[in-house]
Amino acid sequence: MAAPKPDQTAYYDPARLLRVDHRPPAGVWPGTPARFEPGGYLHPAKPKNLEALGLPHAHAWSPTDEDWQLPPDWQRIVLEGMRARIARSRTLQLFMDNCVRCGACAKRCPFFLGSGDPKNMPVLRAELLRSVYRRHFTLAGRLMGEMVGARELTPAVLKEWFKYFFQCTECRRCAVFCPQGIDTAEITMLARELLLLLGLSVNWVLEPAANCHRTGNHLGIQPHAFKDSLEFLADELAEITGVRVQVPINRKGAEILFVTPSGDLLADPGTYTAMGYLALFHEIGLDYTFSTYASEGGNFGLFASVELMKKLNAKIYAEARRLGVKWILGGECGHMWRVMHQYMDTLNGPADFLEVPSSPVTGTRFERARSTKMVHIAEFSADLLAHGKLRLDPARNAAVCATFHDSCNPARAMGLLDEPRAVLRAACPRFFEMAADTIRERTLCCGGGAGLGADENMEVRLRGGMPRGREVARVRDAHGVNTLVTICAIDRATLTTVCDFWAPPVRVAGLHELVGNALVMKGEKERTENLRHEPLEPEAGG
Amino acid sequence: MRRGWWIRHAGGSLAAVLLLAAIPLVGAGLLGLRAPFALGVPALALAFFVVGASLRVARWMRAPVPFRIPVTTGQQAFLPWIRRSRLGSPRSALDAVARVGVDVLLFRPLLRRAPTVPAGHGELGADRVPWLWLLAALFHGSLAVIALHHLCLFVTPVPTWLATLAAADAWLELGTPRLHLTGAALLVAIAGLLARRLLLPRLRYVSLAADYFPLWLLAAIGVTGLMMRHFTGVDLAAVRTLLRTSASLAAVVPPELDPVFLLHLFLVGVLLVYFPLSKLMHMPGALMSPTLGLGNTSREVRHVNPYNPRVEPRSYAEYEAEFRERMVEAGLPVTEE
Repeated sequence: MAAPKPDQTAYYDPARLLRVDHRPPAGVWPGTPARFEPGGYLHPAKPKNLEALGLPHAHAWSPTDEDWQLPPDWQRIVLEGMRARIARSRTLQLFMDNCVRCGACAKRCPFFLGSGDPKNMPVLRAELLRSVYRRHFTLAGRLMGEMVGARELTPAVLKEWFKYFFQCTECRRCAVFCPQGIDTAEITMLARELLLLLGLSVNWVLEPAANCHRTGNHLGIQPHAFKDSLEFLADELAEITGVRVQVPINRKGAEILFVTPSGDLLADPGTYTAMGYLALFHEIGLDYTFSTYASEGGNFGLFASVELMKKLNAKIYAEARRLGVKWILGGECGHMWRVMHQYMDTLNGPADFLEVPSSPVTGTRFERARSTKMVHIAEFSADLLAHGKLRLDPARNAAVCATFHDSCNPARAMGLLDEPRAVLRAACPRFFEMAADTIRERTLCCGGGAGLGADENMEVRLRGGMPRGREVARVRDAHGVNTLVTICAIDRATLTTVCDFWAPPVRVAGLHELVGNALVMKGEKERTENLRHEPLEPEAGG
Repeated sequence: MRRGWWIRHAGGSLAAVLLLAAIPLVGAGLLGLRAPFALGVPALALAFFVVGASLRVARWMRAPVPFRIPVTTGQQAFLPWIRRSRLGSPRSALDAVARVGVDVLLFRPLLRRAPTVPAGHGELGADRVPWLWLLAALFHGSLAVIALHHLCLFVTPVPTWLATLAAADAWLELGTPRLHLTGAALLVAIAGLLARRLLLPRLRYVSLAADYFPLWLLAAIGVTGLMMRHFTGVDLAAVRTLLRTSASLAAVVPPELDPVFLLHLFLVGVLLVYFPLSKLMHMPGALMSPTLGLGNTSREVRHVNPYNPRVEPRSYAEYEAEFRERMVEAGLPVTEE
């Protein structure tokens, strides 16, 4: 057997990763250059992906190169980009001007907890950018230099930005502990936009974005294959339940457009969640359609620039208009819902051609989504359950002992906390919460969101996921938890890695996978298997 | 190098405060330039503060908030039967104002616990005592009360509520005149905040002269204030005369004003000048924070960004043109046959 490589979890020894030294290293932070070690950084974006998206300065380079092949006027590009973006945003001005460096955020960042690298303290991560802002845009910075934390923009600073702004998942946990509400996600987004102006981004972000631009989804699934994937899931479902569900695609005149991350159609364990959707929609007789043109709920543009986020997101409303639906239902996904909830209406609205969403089954009018016209599947299902419109048999999930991981975006950008719990309690008999300071608004990080979910940066992911993984291990030992339920497609991929490493054999499931297991369907055969084709018997040997 | 950093920043800022303190001692004390230090410098400093702070706030106000991005720290209002958190997920303007009040004025985020012990990082602390909250509350609270006490110098007769506040602040009845507890509390808080910065390695690593300087400066202002009240004494009648006449052309600089008062006044002037140029602007700035002050109504009310970029997606027509054959083969509906 070949020796494991840094992009594989087997390369890492949990005991070694756990020995984190949180004391800062010798030397001063402005003079400590960023180092790029195997397992610690993401691959640069391939020029073809930048070109496909019409982005400037596409070129081949590597973080480990001494010379990053910057355009000759790179300093002007970055400073002008910074000036324009900050001038147009009160949010950024406040976050640049007002931090008092109280340090309340420092030990809240999962990446600092897991790595001990002081530049992963949110305060210092932001100072990497603020120092340049001060030097070039403030009087105090020009006059006082280092004393007020101002420094020149140099290639070494760019390298630091690339390293540390791609060790932030924009999870906003720090913002919850900041007495001024300074949101590092905004600062990370600014830094990534500035790097992108020089053609510096990561392939894990830009390849999905380029795919999504062309084919409608991150994975690059073409329309016929998209249909195949869904029909494969319908076949599976028929085999397990005895019920043949229809999968409407690109159907004009449907009442509802359903949008969900494409990852859930292709990769386990997301596929089980997707089967749960199909079963649910069939059972309640929902008049809906998938779209191939808008076949992606997620938006990797969010991890690159506002323009790219808008470009990809615009397809959703465009497709809703083309198909003539009344409103949009969104699947389980984290950053997708950051975009849908906080950005979509501003970027691509107003959606005045749609109607205020209302449940065709319960009649509930979702007034709180009356402008954006988009409802979250957990909200929709919680409403169905509250009206007694779903028959669930939780005993079918008797083998599951669940805990719930609040995904960062639904928790801290929406406040979607109790809806998924209401659904989970109805579908699953055994459910234990993790510690209060690691759930809800204080939830921890999966370690791989915001474009960090690749393999080549595995050490970064395992460290960022360490606090979550350790807490999962604790509830595993304390309560026998064997399943981590989450409403995010990125979580389903990244937390699987985190749990395998830090808390085996806990596995990851979507909320609607458990709903699909428990759903009593008209005309179904006697269920002997869950959606994973595993026998339903409660306990091992039971 | 590691030691060099904090000596430069903590020591340099202390030296700066001491050097600044020497200016009025030399200027007013040795050279006898009393009028410039009693009237000119404070007036200029005040003008600089008012104009500088207003310009900064105006610059913030002029810039639009691009997106409605509150950080939600509680259950949203969506389904009527799920109890929502008014402060964690504000909906109305009143909710949002209450949230800013509680989060910014009462430092609620500093009370949130997240012990790192269960996660295996015990050395980072168990969050049993919210030290930073205590220091922040003590520091800002005593500053606010001390500022109110100074109103007594400007208004005669002293209103009842101010007299009551002063009496309450002196309830320990120590010394003559009675010690204001806030005066002592301010110095304790400053000592605590300085100690944090100097003793916590990770905080020392990020702290700048810009962080130490206001603490040293406020300590100097506090010490000179306490000195006047309790040790060197100050001719309050003379101070009132100065303040009352300072706004007029016939300003009087009473000869009884002592050097400690002029030093105190000068340091307050330095603070006023430093304020608009520095992080001290977080006082108005924190109240404007969009992550705290905006309601979580992003799906309910459209938020408009005047600089919304003009970007078009790949059109459906272009998409269908590329994939039409395969779509037809797969039996997917297409627009053009």
